[in-house]
Amino acid sequence: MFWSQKRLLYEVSIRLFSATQQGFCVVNSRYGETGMKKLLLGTTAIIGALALSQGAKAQAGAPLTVTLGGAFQFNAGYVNEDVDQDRREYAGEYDASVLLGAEGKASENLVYGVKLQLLPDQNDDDAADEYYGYVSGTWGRVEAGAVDGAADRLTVFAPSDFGTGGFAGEYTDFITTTDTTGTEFFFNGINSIAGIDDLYKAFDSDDQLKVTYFSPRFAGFQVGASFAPDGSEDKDIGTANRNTRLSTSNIQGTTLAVSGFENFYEVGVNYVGEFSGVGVAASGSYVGASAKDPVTTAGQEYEDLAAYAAGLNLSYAGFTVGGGYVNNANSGYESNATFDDDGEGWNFGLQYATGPFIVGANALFAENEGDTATSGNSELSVYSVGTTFVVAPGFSTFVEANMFEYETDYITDSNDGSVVLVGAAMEF
Amino acid sequence: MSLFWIFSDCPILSETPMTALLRRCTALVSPAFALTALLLAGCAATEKGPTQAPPTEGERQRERIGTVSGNREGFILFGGERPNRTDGNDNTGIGVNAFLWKAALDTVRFMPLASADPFGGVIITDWYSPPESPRERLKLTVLIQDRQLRSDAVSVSVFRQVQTAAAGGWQDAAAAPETARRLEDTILTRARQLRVASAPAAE
Repeated sequence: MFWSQKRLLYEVSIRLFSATQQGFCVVNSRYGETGMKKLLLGTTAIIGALALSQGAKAQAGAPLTVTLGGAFQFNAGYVNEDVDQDRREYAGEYDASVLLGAEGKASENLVYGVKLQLLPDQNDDDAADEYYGYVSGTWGRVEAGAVDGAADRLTVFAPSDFGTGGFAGEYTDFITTTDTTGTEFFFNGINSIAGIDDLYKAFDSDDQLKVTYFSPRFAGFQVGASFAPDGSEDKDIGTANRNTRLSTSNIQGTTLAVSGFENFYEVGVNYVGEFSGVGVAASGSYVGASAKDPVTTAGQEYEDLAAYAAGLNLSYAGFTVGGGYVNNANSGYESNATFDDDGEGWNFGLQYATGPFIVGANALFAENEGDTATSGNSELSVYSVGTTFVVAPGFSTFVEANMFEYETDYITDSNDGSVVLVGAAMEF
Repeated sequence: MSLFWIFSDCPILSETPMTALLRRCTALVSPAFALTALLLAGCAATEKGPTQAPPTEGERQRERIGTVSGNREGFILFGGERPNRTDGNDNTGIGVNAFLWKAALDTVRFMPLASADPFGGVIITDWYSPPESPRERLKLTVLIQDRQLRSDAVSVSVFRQVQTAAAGGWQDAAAAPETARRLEDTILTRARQLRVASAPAAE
């Protein structure tokens, strides 16, 4: 070795020794090059064990962490649509929630806790609330409570991190979705615009009360399974949670709402990995549930729920491209319906993230061939482009433009138009 | 097996040769074999510690734009460990493992620093001539590549120049590869000491 380098190593070892005064070995040629690294690993093992045994002693005061977070999002929208039914062209909306969490740590490998999402606005949709408890270990994670289940959360669909999310975003809050008689331009019930989630994720039990198991992620794969006994409510409403017979409020038009089903089981699998710098995310999910019994003994029966979804995203150097497919089959349709072909949806998207900017575009195409009694296509197309600028951690602004088009053969009205959304989001 | 789980909070140790191989092989897989590898479930992350749930829509937004509190769950009202004191990922805004970063700075601080970027984990020293050999000079580049305290997260490059006959001229010269390796070992040793020093005291 050259003299200067020897001198450098000597300097280093002096620094190290005087810096710690703990008598640990300093660089020592006795162990050779590879020997030294082995020694480092070996001694770290001992120290790791020491630290752990100390941690075990400290269990009496098991660390409990209570957190307070929150979210606020404001969207201003300008709407231009064919059928506005004398509505104003602009409007605003907000979403606000308070997030309370408590997590205890039984050991390095076992944590438990609760998460509560509180909505300050009493008029907010109850379904947006999430509250659940969980236990998580190396064997997996069990959640019980009102929160989205395995099929929903493992689903991969087109990139939607820009704006409010394009087709997965907020534009549906601003547009007219029904004709003057209250009939949806697209479908009723399942697959309706109100249930836009169900056009890019398999129709599922939303965040109704359920029990979910998620496996650990192994070799990139994570699987999950949920069971929800009833689609009606997510709170303690007593015997109503045990109804097996439909009530009229469970029926939207000619199809069932979520609340019209019971015994939901959801399974999902999701893969996240990387190959030569190309990120891969893929998913598959399936949801099954039984339609409840007719309102009266001789009443109208409905089809059981059987829906599936699959998706794939590829990302490289900030770019993400991907898409997904959803098939809700004839779930929830009147079982004697003449025309009840598959309700299905495709989605595609491309986005690019660089520094604080995310720009992207995505599109959703959904269709159902026929109403329960009338033949004819119903089609929905949504095209979105938008950008998000993360001003600072927890604060972003965005702008997004959406074009949508509903066409249906079975009612006279259709609707198409555009929505421009500008807004800001804060998370703390 | 149980031993493995016991030690699995210690990133250096918990990397078995197998997981190390798995991690490294991701870099070797060519796109042509990607699908095969996917089917074989070969090269992707395997989780350690308590299972993480896939995010809900709301949580996804928090991951996307971050939070004012800097914590995914929000402000810590009470309790909680001092931020990640056992793994060196504190919330100080350092982009790499804090133990490795401090250890690397400690190790090279007798040399003049040209630049030190705690976000990228790069330390570049200026040229340094040991007083005993003024005709040679050395320059170091230290790169810390991981938020975890692991043995392969630090790499050191050593550059050496010798003075030419012409006044003021310097010429690149070979540096013994052993030097870089030893410097890495030194940084790791120091990082380990820092970690031990910051571990919770026994009751």
